[in-house]
Amino acid sequence: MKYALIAAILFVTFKIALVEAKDNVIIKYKKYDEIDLGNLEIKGNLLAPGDLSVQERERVRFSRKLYLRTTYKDEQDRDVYYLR
Amino acid sequence: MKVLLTFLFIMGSQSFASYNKAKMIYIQDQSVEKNLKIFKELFQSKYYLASATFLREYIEAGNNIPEELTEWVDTLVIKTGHEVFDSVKAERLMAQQSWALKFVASERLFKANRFKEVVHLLAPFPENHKFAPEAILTRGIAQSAMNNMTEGNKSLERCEILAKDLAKDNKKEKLERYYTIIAEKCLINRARNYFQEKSYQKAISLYHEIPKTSYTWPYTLMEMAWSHFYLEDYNRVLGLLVTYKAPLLSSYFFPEAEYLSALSYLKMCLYDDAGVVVDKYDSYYREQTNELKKILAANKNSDTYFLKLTLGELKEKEEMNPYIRNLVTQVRKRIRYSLDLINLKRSILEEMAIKKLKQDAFSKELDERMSAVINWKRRKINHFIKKEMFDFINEVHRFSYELFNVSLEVISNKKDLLYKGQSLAKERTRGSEKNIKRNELQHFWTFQGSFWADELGDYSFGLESNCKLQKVTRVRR
Repeated sequence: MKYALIAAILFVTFKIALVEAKDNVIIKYKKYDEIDLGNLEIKGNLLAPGDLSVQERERVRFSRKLYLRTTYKDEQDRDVYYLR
Repeated sequence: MKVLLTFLFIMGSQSFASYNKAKMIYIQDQSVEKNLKIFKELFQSKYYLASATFLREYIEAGNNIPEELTEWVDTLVIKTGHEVFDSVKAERLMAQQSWALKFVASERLFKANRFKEVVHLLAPFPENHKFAPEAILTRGIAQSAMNNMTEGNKSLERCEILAKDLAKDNKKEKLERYYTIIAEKCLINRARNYFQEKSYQKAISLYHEIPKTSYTWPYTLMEMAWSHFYLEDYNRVLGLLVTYKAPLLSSYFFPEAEYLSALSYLKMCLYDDAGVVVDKYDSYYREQTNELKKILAANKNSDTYFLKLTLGELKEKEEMNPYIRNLVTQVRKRIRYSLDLINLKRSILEEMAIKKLKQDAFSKELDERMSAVINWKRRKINHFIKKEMFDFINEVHRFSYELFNVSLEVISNKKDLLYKGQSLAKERTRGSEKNIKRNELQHFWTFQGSFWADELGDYSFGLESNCKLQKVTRVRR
């Protein structure tokens, strides 16, 4: 029983020490890196046009409905109202 | 002379006797026929308005006028107007045998857009009745409103013939003029029907039948101009509308005419000319109208202000605002105004005659009844004039908005030309005879800067359309 207890304490202590050791890990990145673009090779098709161009389109015209007389209904009504 | 005096004495004493009889009936009679009896006696003593108030009550109580009295009722409506029957339901008036009252009912139905009933009610209207031209005119317009143009035109043609006959046979100048105006109204409404049916040429030839001396003629110019507009004769449109600039027609200012001028310039791609019309409208007419509105709005709740405005001297009105004079002139030429004013004056004279009689319960009753009707008549005429004037103000504002749209269209078209790198082929020219469309009966005279009465309404511009000759010129980079 005594040994088992000691073994358990030792195991816990070891585990804690292991976790603490993991937290203190320092990751170092490269401060400078060099890419040689000349050696890079990209596979694919060229889709962009070779020359800059603007496509012409019709200017949007906002239609205004101008008043056009089609009837004299109001004037005819008024002719009746204005009789005797 | 002796005979005349004796005749007048007999007539006067008869009239007085009838009045006394009416008074006795008023005091003693309790029968259902009481109001009809009083009406008969007062009518015979020539107190027409007073008698009409008793007849109104008799009808309102659900009674029908005996057939032998229908002629009296016709006379009554002519002498007093129909305001006294305004409180009677249309159905009660329709139920009467009097054609005058049926006609009054038809106007009421027309105002309620019950056109089918109007046509039905006036279909059997006797053509020998004094109100026949007006009744058939009403029927024709009701048929037109129901889009039954064929029947409408038939009625209007019949109305024109009847009114012309009555004008010819009438020896009284005022009545002759009255029936002539009715005949012209019938003809104008036929032309309007043709316009609605897009038979513009037919409409124009009918408008040409109105003599230039007629009161209605200035109004036909603009209507004729619209027909020419649809026939794409914009030079004629502009020529017709420029007639309103003649000093003889200075009382006639129609906002719609300014709009139609601008629209015609726009159609001819004369953008600068359209712009001039819009600018002038905004800077002058709208300003003047705002002034007019201030004057009228200050008195809008008055029951007499507008009536008084039409009664005084014209010169006084000119100082107030240029439009007041014009509107007063136009209102004074309306049939409705003239008839209502005559009736009002007649009613006031009758009231004064009753006030001179011995004051008792009966004369007080008559006075009260007449005061109520006279006040109602006065308010109605006042309202009619007020409406005419405020309608004008509203019209100015409405066409100000429409002209704004025209100016936007002008800007848009100009921008289009600019973006497309185009320009109009021609600059504004003074015009030429070769651009004028005319028939074999029309002769050409150059306008020398003065308006001659016999030339009015026959003008045409000679401008060349700028649209047809657009020249595409690419802007160089």
